[in-house]
Amino acid sequence: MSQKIREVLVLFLVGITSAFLLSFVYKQTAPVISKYKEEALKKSLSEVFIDPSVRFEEIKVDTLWKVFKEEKYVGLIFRSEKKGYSGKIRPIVGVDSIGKIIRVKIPKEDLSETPGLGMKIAEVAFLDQFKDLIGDEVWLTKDKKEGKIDAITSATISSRAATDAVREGLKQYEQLLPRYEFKKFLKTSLKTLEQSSDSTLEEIIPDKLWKTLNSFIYLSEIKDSSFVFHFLTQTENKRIKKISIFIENPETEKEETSEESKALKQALEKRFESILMKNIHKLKFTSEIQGIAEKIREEIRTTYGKYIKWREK
Amino acid sequence: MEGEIKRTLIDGIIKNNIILVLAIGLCPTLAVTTSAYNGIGMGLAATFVFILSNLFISSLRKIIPGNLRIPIFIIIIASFVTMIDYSLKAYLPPLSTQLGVFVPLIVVNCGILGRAEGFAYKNPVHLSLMDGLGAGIGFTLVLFIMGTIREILGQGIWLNIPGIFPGIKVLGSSFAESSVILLILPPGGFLTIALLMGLFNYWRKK
Repeated sequence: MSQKIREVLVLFLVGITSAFLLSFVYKQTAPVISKYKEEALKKSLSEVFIDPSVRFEEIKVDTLWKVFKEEKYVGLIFRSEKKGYSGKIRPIVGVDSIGKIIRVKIPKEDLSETPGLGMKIAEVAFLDQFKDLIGDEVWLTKDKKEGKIDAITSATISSRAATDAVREGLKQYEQLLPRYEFKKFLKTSLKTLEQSSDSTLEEIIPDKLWKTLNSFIYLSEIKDSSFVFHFLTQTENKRIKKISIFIENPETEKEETSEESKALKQALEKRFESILMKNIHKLKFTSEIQGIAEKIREEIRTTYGKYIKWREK
Repeated sequence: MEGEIKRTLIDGIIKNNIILVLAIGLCPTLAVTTSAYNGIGMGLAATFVFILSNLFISSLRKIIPGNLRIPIFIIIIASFVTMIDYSLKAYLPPLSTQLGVFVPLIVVNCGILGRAEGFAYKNPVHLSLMDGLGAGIGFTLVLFIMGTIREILGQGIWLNIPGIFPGIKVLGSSFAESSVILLILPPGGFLTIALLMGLFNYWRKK
């Protein structure tokens, strides 16, 4: 009997001492560990969104961050998830304002793919392929024609999972991109601007939307596949002003204009303000479209020329 | 006395080799030995635990009741390995990320339990320390050899340390393109371990 009591006592003592020691060490180290983890995550974030002057704001714990530069919303960072060959693959993806990938990172620490094969998806040689791609290009070249990612030899499952994770994440969070916020703004402004006019005829062409300093430019398509350049400007008294430039479709130009399209053109002419043409060189663009600024100006000039010719005829 | 210490050490490496003779602790062995560097990392981390675990068990051997020795071994080993894991994560994060995969594997390594039960529970502290060191060295050597074979044949390179050293090209780039991928995958681990065991026992019988 006393033998049994002794055994129980020893086991109890060993158990309780271990538990005490463990909880002591845990309490001592837990804050240091979580601080280190936070720093590592911050480092990863700035690695996928290279600009050093940005600020991150966590939207969803460990999965979604909005990126701000000088208080302007300039992009997203997300972490998506997909089952790989032998565990979850969780890439960290930096995306700019229009949905183009900046960088992708897959932290090695929580990856359990085959060493020497699937593990290679965490290496720069594979991840660099994602640079500057947009949604539909994020496919393996062997899976889809427009895909631009070459799979790692003998590690197709891991490569495909990583690629799918990035693409699905892009799709899932695309609604939150700054570009879509412009679109939302456009839609509401158009509604307030012309409640009863022909705005329902217009369709904003995807990827033809630019934001200038305090106005928006977008290209839209209207009936008879003619194009219209629009400038939406927010004036000082907070009212929105719209300026449009009409681009003739060369094919419809030759045809006899119907009553309906004539009316439409008259409406556009009314809206057109030639003041813009004089000041077109003053039009300021944000840094993100600085590269195509001259192209936009040129396009507006030629469109305007075409428009004048058509009117004089 | 000195002869006894030396014999214990050498026995730990050869006669009681954890993997090739006792065939315990095989799961982490198969999982980890895809490269020589992984083999060394796991081996050294385990050696450290072998020594400490033998030290603990051997010095407590008189108060641990025979009926309950196995659960007590498990509690002691698992707790202090976990404590080491926490401390590494907090105070030596770079080392911890390098050893990241190995430490949890050590907690469940039956090789360590095997040495505690097979040697440390029955022998004095100084001999148990030597046995731990010997077992660790034997374990590390076998892991290193297995890692070397699997890495060279599976990838054509040797001693690649992820993020630090790209590895020595042993078999040329044309081989690396069409390497024996089977050897990196789990079946390759079984094949390598079986061949090594066979060779080792053939050599010992001679």
